[in-house]
Amino acid sequence: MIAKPNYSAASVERFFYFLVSLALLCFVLSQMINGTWQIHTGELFPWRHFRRLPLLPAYTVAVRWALLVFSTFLILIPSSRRLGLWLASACMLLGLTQQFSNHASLIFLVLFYLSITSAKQKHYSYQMIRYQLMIVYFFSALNKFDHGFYRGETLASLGKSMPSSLLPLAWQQFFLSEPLVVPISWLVIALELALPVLLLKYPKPAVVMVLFFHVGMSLVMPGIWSFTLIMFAMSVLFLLPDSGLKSFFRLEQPARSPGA
Amino acid sequence: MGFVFRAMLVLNLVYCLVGFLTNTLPVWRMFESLTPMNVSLLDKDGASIDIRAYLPSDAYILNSRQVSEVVTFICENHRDRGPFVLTEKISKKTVEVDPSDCQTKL
Repeated sequence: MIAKPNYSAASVERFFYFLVSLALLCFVLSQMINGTWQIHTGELFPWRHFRRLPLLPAYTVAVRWALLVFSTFLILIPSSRRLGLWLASACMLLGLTQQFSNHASLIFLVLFYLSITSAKQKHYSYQMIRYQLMIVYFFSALNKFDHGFYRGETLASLGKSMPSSLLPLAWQQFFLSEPLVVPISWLVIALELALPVLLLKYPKPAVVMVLFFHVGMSLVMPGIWSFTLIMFAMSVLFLLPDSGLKSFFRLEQPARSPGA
Repeated sequence: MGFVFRAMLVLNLVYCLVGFLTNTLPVWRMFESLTPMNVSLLDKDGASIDIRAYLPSDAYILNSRQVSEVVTFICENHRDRGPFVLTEKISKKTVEVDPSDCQTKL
């Protein structure tokens, strides 16, 4: 017997868009704090910039940030949501030409999937975002396994070379050094492999696990809060009634679209 | 619309598989491997230069190529302080960086 969810599809969707907006705001804020402006003024090394593309003047960064912040408000309002999604997608794409990062490209993909469908076709976008979350976890785990992440040396090296995190330095050193690095490394790989399945089978506890997993990583590693928020937002879509193991391979719109 | 999303999903998976097999594309590689780097950079007077001060605060130095790129950037912006000496402390490899071309190969 399947228990009836005690939340509506509309409330899940509202929460999802709130988290997407929050991830965007967090992304802008972290770029402001981390020195993106100084990269464009030439003071800092253009970290993760594609050399073949021109580095745009600093004022374009300010314009992009302003448009991104504006788009977060548009996304929160259903009547202007699609415009906000298009605007934010364009800004994120422009930003990726200036500085590549996995979390920026993930935010862009989520915004893009959402922006190309109308309100009545949202099922496609939501299903694609669920697939995307699985792809991220699966290939992240696969790459980690392939490069011997489980040996713990990578986390130990991160602990030595990383800038300070939100945790006190002693705690950061405790989590990222012997004897904890090896079990933590295995746990990270195991969670990345297990969470997609758990999200399909037991969405509610799995969404909580996603939150704890990424908040835990963000506490230890600085600069990944927007990644945490967008992964949490993506996982929330597994709470929609049309999600689950039975509809996993069905991209088509169901008879009754959620929230339509 | 179903066709568009199906095509995007296939392309997405192909991209990830090619990236994984060839090790050339950034396909959700998130801290999967990290070469411990312990480097020092000295200017012509022997004064130490903090490489991290030239990076955004959330940047992690991951490999020797990235270290070399940052040192080239520092050299190009402070040619008057060159030549520079870059040392990798673990392998004890030392490279002199000439300010005329700032080429760095660690």
